[in-house]
Amino acid sequence: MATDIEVPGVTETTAVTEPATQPSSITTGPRKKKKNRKRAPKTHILGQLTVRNSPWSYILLQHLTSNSPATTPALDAVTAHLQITAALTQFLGLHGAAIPIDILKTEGAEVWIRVPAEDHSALLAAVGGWVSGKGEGWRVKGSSSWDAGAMARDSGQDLFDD
Amino acid sequence: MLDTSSHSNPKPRCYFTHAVLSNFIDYDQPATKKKPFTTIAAQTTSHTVDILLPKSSLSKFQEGLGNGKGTFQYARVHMKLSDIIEGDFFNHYVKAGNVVMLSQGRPDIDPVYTLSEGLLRMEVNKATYERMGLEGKGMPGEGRKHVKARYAIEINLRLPSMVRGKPGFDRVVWAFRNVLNHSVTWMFHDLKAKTDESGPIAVHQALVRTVEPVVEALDGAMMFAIPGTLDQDDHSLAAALLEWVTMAANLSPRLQHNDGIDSYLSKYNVTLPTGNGEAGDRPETQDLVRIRWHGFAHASFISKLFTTSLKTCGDNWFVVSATSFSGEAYVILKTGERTLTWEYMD
Repeated sequence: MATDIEVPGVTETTAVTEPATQPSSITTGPRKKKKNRKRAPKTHILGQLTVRNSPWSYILLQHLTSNSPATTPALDAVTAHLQITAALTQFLGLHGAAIPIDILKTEGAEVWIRVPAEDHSALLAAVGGWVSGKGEGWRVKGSSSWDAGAMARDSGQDLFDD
Repeated sequence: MLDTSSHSNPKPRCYFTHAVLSNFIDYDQPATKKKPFTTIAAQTTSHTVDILLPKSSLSKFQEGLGNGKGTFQYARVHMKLSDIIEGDFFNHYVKAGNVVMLSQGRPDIDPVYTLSEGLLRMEVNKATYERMGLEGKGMPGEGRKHVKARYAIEINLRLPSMVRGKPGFDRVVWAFRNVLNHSVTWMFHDLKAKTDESGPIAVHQALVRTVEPVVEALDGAMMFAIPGTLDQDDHSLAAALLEWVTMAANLSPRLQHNDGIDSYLSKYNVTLPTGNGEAGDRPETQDLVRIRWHGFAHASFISKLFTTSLKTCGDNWFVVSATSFSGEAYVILKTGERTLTWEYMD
């Protein structure tokens, strides 16, 4: 019982001391100020924001040929651009040809490209259903709205098989 | 135009944080509640870790990584789920020790099991979940709105009640004997001791891998003018800077100042500083190097890399980025006393 009485006693004293200190600091300020008062500027975060609309979409494509990889020369930017445009033209005609593609990097049979975010799914559909007269085609290996490396979601799975 | 996916999927988001590093950083025990350390710790395991530096900082950084600090070990092992909760393995690694494990499987498609800090998380499809007889939660997924296709079950194996003979534990044993009784390929990393063939894992013929960093250079890269301040709603600048960083981390030749590609093939160009934006103003160039680790990397290793870079790079800038097995990724750019962090998925 004794403790039961003491506990409210403690809270009461703090309740008394709080108003005693607060008015002294805001003597003249209006009541509104109390609401907007912030803690001391101890925070280390300068700014936070969420980017929702990525302007670009980055796609990693693999060039497929019927030749053995040893005899096939490495893919160059001109060939890659030509064949992606061919795929887009076949799929969407003039609209497809108007989709701007930026070749970011080519390495071996792989090419990293950048397209406007709105054209992302059109490009994936176009390259997926295209085969050239010589049997060349594209395979989509990965895509990302943020990362120019365009790693696939399951790109870590190779560690389980090596 | 043909954007069929934008209506069904949530739009990808990128969370950007601009923060100041504190004046004093304990390199052995970095802060646990401050950005960017929280970002590193939140992503438990990663398959690719990149560090991007100016070439001038490379030798000092590699010195800092000396005597084995720049490598890590992990093991690949074939085990059943029931092997985890039995015998020496359970007592040595789960109850007393601290191990991280991850099973093979594409995220959101195959069954995926993870073990970290004694917490076993199993993501399975509905049919398996219903047969297992363990309590779990539905996972938000694409497709139909109110029908859950996948469930996640979390069991804390370190609880005192998780011992043989207790009914809760016996249900787990039953599920692992009768439902999830197939052999699984796992990644295994021991946080308490060096991961090698010794210890109870030896029974399962673990294959131990040591991951060495691979250093590649990108000479004469045009630098992005890293802004001193960022407006609260300058989304495009945050996105453009992230684009530059990830392109540099991908060693794209479009960043090199002597890159002679036709503007028909690529219209990418580095954003010029806005302060002295005179026409014909060439951005500053630097030789960059990318150091890449590809393996089963735990957050503690990346945290160590980050503090090593802080120690050795001084006032120079550097970038640490990591991609997880489930597709999440972050990029941390440190410049001066500030850090810029991007967290994104896909």
